[in-house]
Amino acid sequence: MAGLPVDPVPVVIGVLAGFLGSLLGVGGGSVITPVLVALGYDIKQVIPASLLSIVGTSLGGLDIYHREGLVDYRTGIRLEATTVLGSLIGVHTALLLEPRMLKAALSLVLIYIAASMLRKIRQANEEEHGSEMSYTRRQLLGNVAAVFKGFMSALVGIGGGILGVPILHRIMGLDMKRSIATSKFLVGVTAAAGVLGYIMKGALDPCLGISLSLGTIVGGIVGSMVGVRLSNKTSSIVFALFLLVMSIVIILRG
Amino acid sequence: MGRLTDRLVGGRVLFYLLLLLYIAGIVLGGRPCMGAAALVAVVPISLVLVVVVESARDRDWYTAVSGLVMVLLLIAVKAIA
Repeated sequence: MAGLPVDPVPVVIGVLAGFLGSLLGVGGGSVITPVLVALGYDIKQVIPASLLSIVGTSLGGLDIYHREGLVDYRTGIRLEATTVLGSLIGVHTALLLEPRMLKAALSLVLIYIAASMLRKIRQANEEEHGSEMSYTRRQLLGNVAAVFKGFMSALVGIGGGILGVPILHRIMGLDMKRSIATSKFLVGVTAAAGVLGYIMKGALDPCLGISLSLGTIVGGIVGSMVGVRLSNKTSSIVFALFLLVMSIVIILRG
Repeated sequence: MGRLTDRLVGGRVLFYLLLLLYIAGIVLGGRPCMGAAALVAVVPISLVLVVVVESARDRDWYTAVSGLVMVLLLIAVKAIA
C-alpha cells in the first residue's frame, strides 16, 4: 500500500459541489470542473473524475429525500429516456450550429425561467407540502422539453439539472422540493453511464474521482439534510437565484 | 415506490454499500480503486432497473419501457462516444 490516494483539495471542492448539487438538484460539475482546471489539474482527468463525483452527489443523501417521499422515480425515468434522444440529436448537430448563439439562447431561457419562478412566488403562496405525485400529467410536453434539455446539454455542455428541475416543476407539476430530489437522482444515472464509458476506455483517474466523490457524498448528505428542511418557496427562490448566476456565467464565458 | 426501492435506498443499504466501496478503494488504491469506481457507477443504473422491475410488476409499461430504453441508450451512447 503506497500511501492514501486521497488528495485533500478535491475532497474540499467536492464537499462544496456536493452540498450545492444536492440542495439544487444539479450535478455540481459546473463548480468542480472550472475550479480544478484553474488549480492546474488536467482537464482530461478532471472531466471523467467530475462525472464520478456527480454520482456521489446524486447518491449522497438520496435516502434522506427518499424517506421523505420526495423522489418521483417514475416521472423522472419517463422524461429521461427522451433526454437521451435529445443528446443524440445534439451530438450529431453540434458542428452545424454556432455555439455562441446557443449559449446566448440558453442564458435567455434560464433568465426567463428564473423570472417566471420568482413572479409565481410573488403571485401566490405555494403549497408547503406539495402536490400529489403525478405520472401522466402533461407527459407529452414534458417529453418535448426533455428532448430540448438533452439537446442543449450535448451542445452547450451544461448539466441536466439546470433545465431538468424547471421541467419537473413547471411542466410536470411536481413541487419544488420533489423536482430537486428527482433531478438529483437523474443526474446520477446520466453521469454513471458516462463513468462506465470512461472506465471502458481506461480514461478515468480513479483516485482523483474517489477523492472528489468522498467530498460530494459528504456534501450531498449535508445538502439533503438542509434541503428537506427548506420550504418549497425558499427552494424556489434559491434555485431561481442559482439560474440567474448560471446565466451570467454562461454569458461571461462566451 | 415499491419495497425493492425502499430496501435499496431507504433502508440505508445503498449508503453502507457505498461506504464500504469507497473505503476499499481508498485503502487498496490502484486497480481495486478502479473497480470500486465501476461498482459505484453501476449503483444508479441498478436503481433504474429496480424501478423498471417494479413498474412492470404494477403494469406501468410506459415507465418500464422508458427505463429500459434509457439504460440501453445511455450505455450505448457513452460506449460509442
